[in-house]
Amino acid sequence: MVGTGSVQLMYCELFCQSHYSFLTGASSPAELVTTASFLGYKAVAITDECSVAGIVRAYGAIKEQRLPIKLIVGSYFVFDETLAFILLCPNKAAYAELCRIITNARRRSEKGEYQLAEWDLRTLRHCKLIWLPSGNEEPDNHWAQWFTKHSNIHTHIGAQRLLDGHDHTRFSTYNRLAQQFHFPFVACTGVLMHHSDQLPLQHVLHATRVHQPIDNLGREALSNAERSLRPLKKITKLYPEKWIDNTLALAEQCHFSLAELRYQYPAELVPKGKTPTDYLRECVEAGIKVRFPEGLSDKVRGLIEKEMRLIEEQQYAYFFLTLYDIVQFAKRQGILYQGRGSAANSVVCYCLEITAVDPRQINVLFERFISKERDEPPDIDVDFEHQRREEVIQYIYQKYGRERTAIAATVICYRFKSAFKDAGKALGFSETQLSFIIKQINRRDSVIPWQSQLEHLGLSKEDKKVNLLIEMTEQLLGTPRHLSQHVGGFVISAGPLYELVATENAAMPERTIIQWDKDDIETLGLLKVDILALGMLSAIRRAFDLINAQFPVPVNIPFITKLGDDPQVFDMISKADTVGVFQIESRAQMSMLPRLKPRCYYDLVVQIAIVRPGPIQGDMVHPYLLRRNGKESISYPSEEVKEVLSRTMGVPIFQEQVIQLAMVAAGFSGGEADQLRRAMASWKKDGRIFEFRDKLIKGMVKRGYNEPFANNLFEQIKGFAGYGFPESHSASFAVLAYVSCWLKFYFPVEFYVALLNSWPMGFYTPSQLVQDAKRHNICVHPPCINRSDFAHKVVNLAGDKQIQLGLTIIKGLGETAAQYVCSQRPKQGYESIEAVQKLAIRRDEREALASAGAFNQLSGNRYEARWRMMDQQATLPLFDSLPIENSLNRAPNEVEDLLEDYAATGLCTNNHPIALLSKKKNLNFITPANQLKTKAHKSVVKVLGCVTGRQAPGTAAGVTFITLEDHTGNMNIVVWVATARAQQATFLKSTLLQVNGIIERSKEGVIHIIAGKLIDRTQWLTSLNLASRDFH
Amino acid sequence: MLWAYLHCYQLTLDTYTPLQQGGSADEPTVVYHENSNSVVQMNAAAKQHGIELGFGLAQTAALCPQAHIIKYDKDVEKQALLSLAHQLYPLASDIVINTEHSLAIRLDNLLQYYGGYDVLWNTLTHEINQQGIHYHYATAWGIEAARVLAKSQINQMLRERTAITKCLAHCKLSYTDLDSKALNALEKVGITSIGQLLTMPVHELGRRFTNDTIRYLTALRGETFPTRTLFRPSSTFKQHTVLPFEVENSQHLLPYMGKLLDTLSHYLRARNLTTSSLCFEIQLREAEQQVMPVSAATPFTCATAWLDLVSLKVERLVLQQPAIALTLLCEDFEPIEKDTNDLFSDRFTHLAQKQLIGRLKAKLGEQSTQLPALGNSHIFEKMTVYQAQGNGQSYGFDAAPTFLLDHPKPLSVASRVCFGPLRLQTGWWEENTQKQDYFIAQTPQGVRLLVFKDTESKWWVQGVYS
Repeated sequence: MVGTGSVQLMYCELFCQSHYSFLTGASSPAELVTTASFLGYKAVAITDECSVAGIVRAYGAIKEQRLPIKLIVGSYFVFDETLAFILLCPNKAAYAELCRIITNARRRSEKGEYQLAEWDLRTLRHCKLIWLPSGNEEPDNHWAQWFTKHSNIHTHIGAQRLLDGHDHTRFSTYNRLAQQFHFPFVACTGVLMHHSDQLPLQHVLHATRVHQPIDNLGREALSNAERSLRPLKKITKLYPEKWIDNTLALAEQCHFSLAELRYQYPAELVPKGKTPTDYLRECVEAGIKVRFPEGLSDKVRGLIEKEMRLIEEQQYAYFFLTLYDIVQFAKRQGILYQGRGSAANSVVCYCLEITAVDPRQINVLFERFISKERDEPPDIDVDFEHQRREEVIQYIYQKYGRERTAIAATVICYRFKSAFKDAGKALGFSETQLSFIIKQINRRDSVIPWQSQLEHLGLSKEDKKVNLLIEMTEQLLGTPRHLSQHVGGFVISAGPLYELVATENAAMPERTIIQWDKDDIETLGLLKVDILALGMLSAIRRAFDLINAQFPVPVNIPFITKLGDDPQVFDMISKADTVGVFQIESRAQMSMLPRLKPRCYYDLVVQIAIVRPGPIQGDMVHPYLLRRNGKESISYPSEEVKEVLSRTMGVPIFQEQVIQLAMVAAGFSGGEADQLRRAMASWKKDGRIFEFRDKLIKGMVKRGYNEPFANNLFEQIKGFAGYGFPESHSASFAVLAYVSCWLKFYFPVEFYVALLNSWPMGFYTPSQLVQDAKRHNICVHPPCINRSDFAHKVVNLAGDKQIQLGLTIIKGLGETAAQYVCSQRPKQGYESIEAVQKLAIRRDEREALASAGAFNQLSGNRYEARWRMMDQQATLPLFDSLPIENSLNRAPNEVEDLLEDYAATGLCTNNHPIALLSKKKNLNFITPANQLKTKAHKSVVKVLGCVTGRQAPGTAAGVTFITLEDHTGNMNIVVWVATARAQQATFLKSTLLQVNGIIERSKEGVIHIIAGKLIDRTQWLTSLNLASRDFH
Repeated sequence: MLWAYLHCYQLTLDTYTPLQQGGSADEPTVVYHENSNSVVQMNAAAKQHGIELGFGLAQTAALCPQAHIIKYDKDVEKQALLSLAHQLYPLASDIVINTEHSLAIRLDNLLQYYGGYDVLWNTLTHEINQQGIHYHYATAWGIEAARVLAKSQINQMLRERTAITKCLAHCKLSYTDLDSKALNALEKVGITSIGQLLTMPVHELGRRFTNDTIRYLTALRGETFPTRTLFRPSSTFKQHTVLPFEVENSQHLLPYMGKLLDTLSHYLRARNLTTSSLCFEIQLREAEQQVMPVSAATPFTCATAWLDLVSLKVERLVLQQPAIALTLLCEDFEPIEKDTNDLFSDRFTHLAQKQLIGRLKAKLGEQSTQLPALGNSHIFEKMTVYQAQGNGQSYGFDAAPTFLLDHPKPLSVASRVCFGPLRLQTGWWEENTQKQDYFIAQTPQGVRLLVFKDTESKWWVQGVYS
């Protein structure tokens, strides 16, 4: 039975599961193909269970490392407990067949499951089938006869020798089948690991899959590491020579390569008789007339021609046309959208109305973003109004059908918490202990690594299990866990998608995802269209609607950008008066604005990108500020570097700059730079970025840059990794940021109303937005049964624009009921509570209206109104004539009113807890927020406010920022880690907090209070139900 | 009527406190309710760290990382309360177990036996204090009113109706048993105290609240008295004791078992019963409880006789984990008859066969008669297991040896390898990682042996096949 071995050992492994057979395979596709190639295998088949998710990774690894090994695409299936088999793809037709079978099997089941039907097997025409007999005589005979009968299926028997004590039984089965039937045998291992060292990881994954500790797996677990890629010498000892030769013969029949996949865009977009480029040109020319009614300058015409040439060369015309079609739909429906990304800021996109950013205004060149050398696909994301994106998605589904449309997958990988928990559970640690430890471990502690912190938490490193826990957690990190849905990346194809890739059900009903993620899609050169949702677009569109209802000249994004940079708007921005605007509204952004003092559009582009973990961790903020303020000279080590960095004063701020630097300074080729970009995106997952370290530093030194500069650049790249923000996106965001600021400055009432109507979105709660509006002297009226509509609205009272809150703000009142109340309202309004009581809405909804104070106009107070609404008899016609008596005789006081406002609507329009307190208590020792600017730098102050936010950014070395709100404004408190630790209880618990601290005022006027003593004043308002928004 | 209500607000903590004395009494300890992610009980040391009731685990851990956390278990509290009720039953007949951590005792009908409320109350509280249980208490005309007052921590023996009414009026509505919907509705119209509620005309409340709410309110006022199920001691014996410290050596369990057997003996004698089987449940720190059934061939009542048998059993008992509590269960009783000599004599006249087996089983353990079976492990040491009932499953695995040698012996007979290699490479998570190739060899006499070759190419026998 055993082969003697030959001089020229040849073997192909036809059954390999990577870690895309989730919680089963313990090696990545790249590890499998690299090791197989190293061991001298001629070919390797990646056959994940009912999946093709791993094949592109294997394909990419072979291509990247130029490995002398053939990749066979296939998949492993379990039909039921009696039948398991592998399908291999000899040609493209077989690949389409495989994808169709996977898609059908997956679509029949819940997410993550699959179900094969016998019909799937009967329809096999092209795939090669390797049957893995079960060892049970009866079912094996049944299936052998079945395969004999269905001669259209090219069946082989896969023989496994795993040294697990069952080989004897297996080989008896093989002998019996060989005597009775005539299927050729092929040797196969059923690889789950590229190396035997991965066995512990495989056991942990297995244990996780079955929710048991490893100890309980018993005989279910692998008994040895034989299901790894084994040396050829060993293979020849294990199998008869004929079976090994058969693997080669079968592999030779499989000549399908992923390179053959040609992605085709839906053809219906282009009218018959026209080429895509012609049609694109036609659309662009039509767009020119809209966008440039005054005619084109030579410069812009030249740009358009250049872009069109590039689009034609790279064959991107269909991509632009697809987006054009989608945005035209949005335009017809009045859905506001904005394109962003590498190609979005081109003149062509402007003409196609994919973006509303006038390239002349922002002076950003297309060629900066799309680069032939870098060989990146064009990146255009289109953001739509968040509450209306679904309409766009449904349009795409309707137009192309579910067969041709699917969303890209996102591979969810193990992160620290999940890895630690699953490894711990597998090793038998109790869940409570693991949860406790996870909560205690500070992953941001740069001094003590988490491994050492375990010691302090009672897990001694002398315990073998603790060491294993650390080891297994580290191994699990980055291992794929399951497939999920990309936020909005659609793949649309000309024909059914299953000819291209298998699809499966997503968790969301009626959504399908392909089995490849965005990296796989890029590797194969497929193009995806990103349909994203953005809350600010909803708000901006609403603000435009409100403004355009008042004025004859339509205000829209092009209108505002065409007006150019408005100094008054930038004055407002520089004062950090940016609550509610897009992107530059967070605490960190607001404290940077007075320092950076943006004066033009491009300053905003920088501002948006600079306050990010990337530039902060790469230590780029401080040098940029110094140079911008002229306090540090700018020097460049070379002309090439100057060209890349001059627009940001010699400091790399955007992701593109880092990539360009690698190309010009370290001599990276386009392909290498692209790999670097991908490694940057995923370094937290796999740490691949360190592979580039040597090449980068050596490359730079070779080109005459000194080593510190090179090291510094690598550190900056590392800082960027995972957090870098591309200029192309920042450029589009800056437009929306500017537009929202413009609206806030010129049309504040409309702006706040639009924001409130678009909520949930952004950084601030309605309560904070209303407080901000009031600080801008805007009168805000609480919801009222007679004055409010469903939505919030602008009211004009005595020539003064004010905000009337809508009934939508009332918790517990449904939209239907609120709309009904409005539609039934008599012209002169409801005259009595009884009139509302008779409306056909639920009792609890009537009570919600009462508690929100909506009846204050009709009734004495909200308690009384609610008491009357609670009366069940009053709604009955029989009791109509009975006199109404007020048996309650209770009226809320000021505090109770405030509490009820917060409870019923989450905000209070006419009072603030601190204002109330100051009436009842002597708070003279407290400095209100609006008086802080009168205090001297470094002076001691006592402030009091509601805690509206606690933020502990990873970039701030243990510092926590607390935002306190009083009736006059917000205050930024800086709490050092030692202060927080020493006063932990107060720090963590307080809702109402007094801080005694020292004012720190920067030259630009940014005020922070460095906390000294923290005093919990929550008991002053114990029952005040103010939610604190924690970010730690 | 006059009812006393005991609200045992830290029953879990009280149950475990003796345990802590083994360690440090000052250790901050909290009882954590997993479902609501909140701290429900805590000791003074925890309070000093700033922990408050209602905190989540993360906040608790952040404030006091070294806090000892006990998981809240409804059954533990219920058990403790039942145990308390058992202790009080000889003193008071009408006891109502109201919730898993509170009970009510009717006092007025006991007055004739005790002569005065003070004596009665002192007797009751003495017994409760003996149990080391912390509680808030109050008395009122009915259970509902007494409960509200106890939860409000009145801690007074109120007998006068006016005094009760006055106290009740100041209590918060949240201490009542009104459902959250009713509470919320009342709060929304500014009614937050019982006084405010009770001044409302009933017909006005009736127009706005459910019948259940109205029924509750009339009971609270003492106008109606809902029927309650009184506590009755169970017809079987169950006694639970929490060990003062974690016990690792099974021999150390004997004194506690003896104490439990004493109680059982009293129980049996009081009822003129005897038993031939009982069962100890040993609660372990983290694993499932260990059960130790003990049976006697002839029924006994005497504690010493049982302890004799139990100590034999305990000799063989290996605790899988440290024990934290013990429960003695006895469900099968027989009446003592005239021919049962146990009442007057601890001597046995003869040992019947079954008694011998009984003693042997007790001495050698239940495992004394066994059959080999296939265990659920790849490791040979765990592959062949012996089971008392002989119900081992067959895995259809032909490499499992029938007998495994304790220590491998050198292979001394020339043999032929007929199966293998079987590669074992597992158990990496345990102390002894297994990595070995095994074979089945056959001697010229036809005996099949499980053999392996060591690094020096020496062959060893590990097991024998039948």
